[in-house]
Amino acid sequence: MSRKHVIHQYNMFEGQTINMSGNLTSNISNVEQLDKCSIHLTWTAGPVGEFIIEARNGGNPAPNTALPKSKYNDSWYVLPTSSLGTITGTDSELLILLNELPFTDVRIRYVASSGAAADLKALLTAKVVGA
Amino acid sequence: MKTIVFPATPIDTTGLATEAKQDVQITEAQTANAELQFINVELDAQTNLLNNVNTYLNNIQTELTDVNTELNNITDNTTKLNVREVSPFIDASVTNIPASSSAPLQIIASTAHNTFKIVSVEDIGEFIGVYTGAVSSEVLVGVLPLGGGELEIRINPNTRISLRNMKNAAINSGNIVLNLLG
Repeated sequence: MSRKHVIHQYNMFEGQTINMSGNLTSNISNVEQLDKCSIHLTWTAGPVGEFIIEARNGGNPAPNTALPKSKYNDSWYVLPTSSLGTITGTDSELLILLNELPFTDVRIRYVASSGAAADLKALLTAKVVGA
Repeated sequence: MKTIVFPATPIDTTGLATEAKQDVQITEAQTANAELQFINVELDAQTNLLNNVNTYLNNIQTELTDVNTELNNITDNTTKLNVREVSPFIDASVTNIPASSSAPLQIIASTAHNTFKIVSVEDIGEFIGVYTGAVSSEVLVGVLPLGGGELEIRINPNTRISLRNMKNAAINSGNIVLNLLG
């Protein structure tokens, strides 16, 4: 019997205090059982900086205590995307499409250049294709 | 909205005019342009050389023309002399040879050839001057030997020749004829 994994909606910065004048690191999202996902980032316009998508092939602590511990703690690496996730003071949203997920975990880092406190959300939705 | 995608879709640039290929083409075009400019400079230099050669050839042609003229003169000067013209037979009793105070007597209106020697045949025995030049502009160019003989002289074609006694007395006897040799 086939199974289909889906994530309807998850805010990768859930539970964090957001201040885009400084650097931010999102929560870790485990994507082992998934094929594709998209991340829609929205914020209050003004900050200038860069969003970086990072992944790892297993590591500790696991994003979820229900997930098995990894034997080795892989370091985070930057995904080579079609373009950089730089934002200007007039931008207020960014869409990230991950059409393949050949890694276990993914997260988003924000490197600030200038800005102020802003309401930032990174809504992830994902699914298994063809399950 | 700005969108970034993973994985980044590689573009097969085979056959495409990519920036790198355009840079290569620009470099090659610049190299070709520099070589064409060099060739143009070389062609200008060759043109100048050819112009100089042409000038030298023209000078040589002028020199050869002068040489040809000189050779013709040498030919004229070294050819064995022959009688080219004979003056009319003058009977002084009929046609006096004028005195030195009178105008010379024309015997040839215009010579037909170059003259290098006059051989006179006469039985007059006086000092007879040979003149060249137009009427009233006669110039003494030689004196015939007494009783006839040779007078080496150069007279151009189309020259008027006349005779006159060197003494102030008309000659009214005897005969004279001139052989013009050239």
